[in-house]
Amino acid sequence: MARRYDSRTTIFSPEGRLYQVEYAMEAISHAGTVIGVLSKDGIVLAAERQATSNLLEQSVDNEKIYEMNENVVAGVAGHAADANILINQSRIVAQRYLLKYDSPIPVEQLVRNLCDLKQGYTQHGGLRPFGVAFLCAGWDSALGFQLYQSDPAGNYSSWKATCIGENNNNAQSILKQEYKDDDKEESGPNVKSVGSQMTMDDALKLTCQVLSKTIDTAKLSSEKLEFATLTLKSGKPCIHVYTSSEIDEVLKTYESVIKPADNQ
Amino acid sequence: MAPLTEPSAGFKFDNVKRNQLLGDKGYKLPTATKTGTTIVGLIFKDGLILGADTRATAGPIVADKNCEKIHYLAPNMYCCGAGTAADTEFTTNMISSQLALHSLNTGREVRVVAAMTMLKQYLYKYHGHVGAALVLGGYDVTGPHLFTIYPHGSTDKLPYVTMGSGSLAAMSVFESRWRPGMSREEGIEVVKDAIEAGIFNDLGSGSNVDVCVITKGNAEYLRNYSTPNERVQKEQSYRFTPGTTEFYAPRVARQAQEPAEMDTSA
Amino acid sequence: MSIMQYNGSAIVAMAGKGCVAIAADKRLGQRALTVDTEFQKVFPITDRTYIGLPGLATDVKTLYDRFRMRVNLYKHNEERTIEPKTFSHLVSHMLYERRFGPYFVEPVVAGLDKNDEPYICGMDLIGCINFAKDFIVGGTASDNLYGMCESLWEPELGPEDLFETISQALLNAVDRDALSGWGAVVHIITPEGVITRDLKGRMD
Repeated sequence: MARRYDSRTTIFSPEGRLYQVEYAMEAISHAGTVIGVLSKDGIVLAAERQATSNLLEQSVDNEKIYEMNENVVAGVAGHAADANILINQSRIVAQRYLLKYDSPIPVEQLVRNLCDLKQGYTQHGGLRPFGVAFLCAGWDSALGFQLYQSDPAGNYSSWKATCIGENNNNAQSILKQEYKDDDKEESGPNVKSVGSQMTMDDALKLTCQVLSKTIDTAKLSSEKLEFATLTLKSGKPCIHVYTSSEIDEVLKTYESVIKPADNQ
Repeated sequence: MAPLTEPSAGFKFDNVKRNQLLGDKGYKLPTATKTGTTIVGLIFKDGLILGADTRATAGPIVADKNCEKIHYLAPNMYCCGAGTAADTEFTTNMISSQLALHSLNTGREVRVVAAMTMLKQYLYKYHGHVGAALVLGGYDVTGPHLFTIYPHGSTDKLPYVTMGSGSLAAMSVFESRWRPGMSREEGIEVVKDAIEAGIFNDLGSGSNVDVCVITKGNAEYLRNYSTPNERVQKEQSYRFTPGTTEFYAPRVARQAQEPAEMDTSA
Repeated sequence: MSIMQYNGSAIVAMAGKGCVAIAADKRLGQRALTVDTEFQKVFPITDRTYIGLPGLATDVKTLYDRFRMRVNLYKHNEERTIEPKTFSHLVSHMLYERRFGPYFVEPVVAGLDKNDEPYICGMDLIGCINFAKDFIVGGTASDNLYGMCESLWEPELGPEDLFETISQALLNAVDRDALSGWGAVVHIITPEGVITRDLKGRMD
């Protein structure tokens, strides 16, 4: 029965499901993991590259983490080719906003625009949904640092720490356990709710910890990872995409939290 | 899905109404850089020679003392441009790219008549508003060809041609000295003298002589073949002693090593 | 009166030894009335490429915003910063697109390329590029600037000498132009960084 509703993205099955959209999400749950962790002075994004080969020329550019605008950086899980389309569109949308209003686009507006585009492909006939989920780390003057997650259906949500891709359930539960939330220890009228207890170092450490549990490998290395941070430098957002030697350095610094994974 | 990027081909006319209004209100609309220009071409024994001066003018001002007016079209074809400088530059560039595609599609060297036809059809389409006056020369499988193309799209095919404001001066040299079957050396000399006649007798032309010799399977671009107007050494230096100019406290120097930051300040 | 004279401007770029300079006046006028004495006419495109836009002020602003958008997209798509030569062709192309309804600006580009070689060029309002090895001028004081630069400029000037030369060329040119002046700004672009100085000029 279900088969009859498989080929159309636009039609609900009798059980009220959109199979193509669900399949797209299924595709993502097998994709390389992307983790995002918000801290009080920045955001860490980390992504796992799958299927590496030593013949693959990968030193040239990143395939999972992209700068979308001067204030937004995104991690991608799913079809890279689909992601390219969305990233290009987002970049243009962001620049259009800058041209029109002479200020950088608010993060949520950019994410919403991206999700509107994704949503369109779940409703208008004859097309396949975009097989990608994003983690968008951004900063704007109104809401500060923000971390958004989006799925192929066009839903998006804001997070303090989250994960998409393979083993994301596993990762989510570790993040839930380990994330230091301000609500628990310090709260008051002057503490912004988005501000966490985490420092950037804590966030990097937590990211490494989660990666070591979710990635199915004996040893974490820069070959299989991409890292990026978004911080503020003299009041302006600053995106830093790590080089492979910088990634190795991070992994070395937080060796202690990664090590236990090897013993398991 | 509506395209987010605007199509980039063709002209845009969104400023036309505004500009017309400004013109109607009595503001004179500025003129573009022109190449007052002497450009010539002649056929000699083994091929053809193109020549041009190197002055670009904006009204009475010399805008560029050593510009290039002989444009590349294809390996076997070059084209001299007179008139509105931007039009000659962009028209020849565009035709050049079309010729490259044509040559790749057909797997043959493009013929000069093809380039001539493409240019005249393009210029005719704009009824003279694209102000390019051209001397087109090339050597193809049917031999050497020399054309003049006017801004409205008409063409001539002649063994020796001149164009631009210095065309009369240049033609006087050709009429008295051109003869069929000249040698390469004779040809270059006549072309050089024709351009120099323009340089010295026409105010719109000046500076140096560029020459291009096209023969079977070969094109030789002789940039600044003759430089009859070289500037002499300045007799005095007007270097100021550091500290002459008064200025306010300097702003912070930006570091060049860092990757460029996007400027989003208002 | 020409529309190019409506707001008034004077911009000059000069090539030196391993450095380039670009300078502009700061006046914004409406014909003979001065409206602003801090009007920006030179804009950074990258850390080592600047563009000066003399001409109609409304087009100066519009074009700069468009250039910024195109350069940002270039940076993202190509994952590198734009070279001054490439940028000049981008500008030229954008101007020629409006061949029959132009923006009223005559851009001046100055920068250092990836090999630290000086690059300067100018354009007319429909994008005809003028590659120069010495200097480029633009604006209502351009005739005066031609005269100043022809006599003051000499090859192989270092950053400090170039600063004096370009400053004196600009200041003396705008003093004989009623429509430009009221202070000036100079940017000296060197491989080590950009020195920006606000000149003390006549305020009449």
